[in-house]
Amino acid sequence: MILTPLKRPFVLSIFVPDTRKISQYEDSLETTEADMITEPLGLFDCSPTTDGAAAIVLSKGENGVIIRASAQASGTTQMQEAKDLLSLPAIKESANQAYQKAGLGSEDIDVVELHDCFSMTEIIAIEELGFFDKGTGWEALEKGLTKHDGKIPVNTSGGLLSKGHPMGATGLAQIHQIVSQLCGTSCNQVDGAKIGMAQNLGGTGAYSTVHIFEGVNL
Amino acid sequence: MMIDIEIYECAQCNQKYVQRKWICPNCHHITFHQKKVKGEGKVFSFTKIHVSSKGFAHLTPYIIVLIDLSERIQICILYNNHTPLIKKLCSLPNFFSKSIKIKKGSIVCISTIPSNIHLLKTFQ
Repeated sequence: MILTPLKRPFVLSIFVPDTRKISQYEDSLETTEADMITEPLGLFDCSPTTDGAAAIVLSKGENGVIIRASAQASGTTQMQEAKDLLSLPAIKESANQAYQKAGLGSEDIDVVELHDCFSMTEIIAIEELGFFDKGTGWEALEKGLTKHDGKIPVNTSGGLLSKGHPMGATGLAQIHQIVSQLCGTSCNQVDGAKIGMAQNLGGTGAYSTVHIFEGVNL
Repeated sequence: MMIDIEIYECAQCNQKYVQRKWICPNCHHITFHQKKVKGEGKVFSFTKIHVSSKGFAHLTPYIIVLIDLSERIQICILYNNHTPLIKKLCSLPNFFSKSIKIKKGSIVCISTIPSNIHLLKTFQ
């Protein structure tokens, strides 16, 4: 078994410093003392199920934000059947399919919205999507490599942990954020973002969908 | 009293499952043999659930233990306040690799992540 040397403050640092503008939980002390939900995850490690809505308009054309790839994969729904508890194979498979379809790699992605339903899901996702090596996701977060000026800006919307998780709307809301990034109109704009990714998780981590978008002549 | 666990073994690739399958996720074969393995093993991992969904809220707090049985198969068991073992387990800083025997009345979780159990089966 691989044990990630993840200390509790690291888990919290995933969303606290990065989304300070929009997070109502600025006091990290408050989050450390949060009620336990599923050890070691506390209340603020779990995204709140909320109401929400999102819409996109699809049109035909060669300019604008284009869909470079759309891929979906599934894995086991059973914890006891997982080959590695610190992996979500569906994310890896869907990402690999999307990279292949788009003819791109993880190094080409400028900004990503991923499914941080729980704080540790983000750690696993940044590894499975190929941004960081297996077992090093926690370190990447600690070093701030997923911040705006980091190696790969992750969840500029604040992610599910900060903005809530309206199931059904969550996936489109991620795409909305990526589209606004590629149009240069995002409230947390990543300078010069050309290629963006949205990764959505379903079931209990058993299903993953990855979309890759590119802004063309914008 | 320790009990035997009934498992399903793929007739083609010998992969073993606690839950009955229609198709083997490993090799896509569709026939399985039923087998029994001893209900004893070692703790692979565990977590304590404080808040659960409506159907299982009455069981909280409970511990979900992932156990390595013999023949390379894992099983997920729920222990709660009504189980004497929980007090012993809670008093330990951690119980990775501790030997464990699955007894009559144990609740096996046949599904997914610990906080989202869809189906429980009690061993009689």
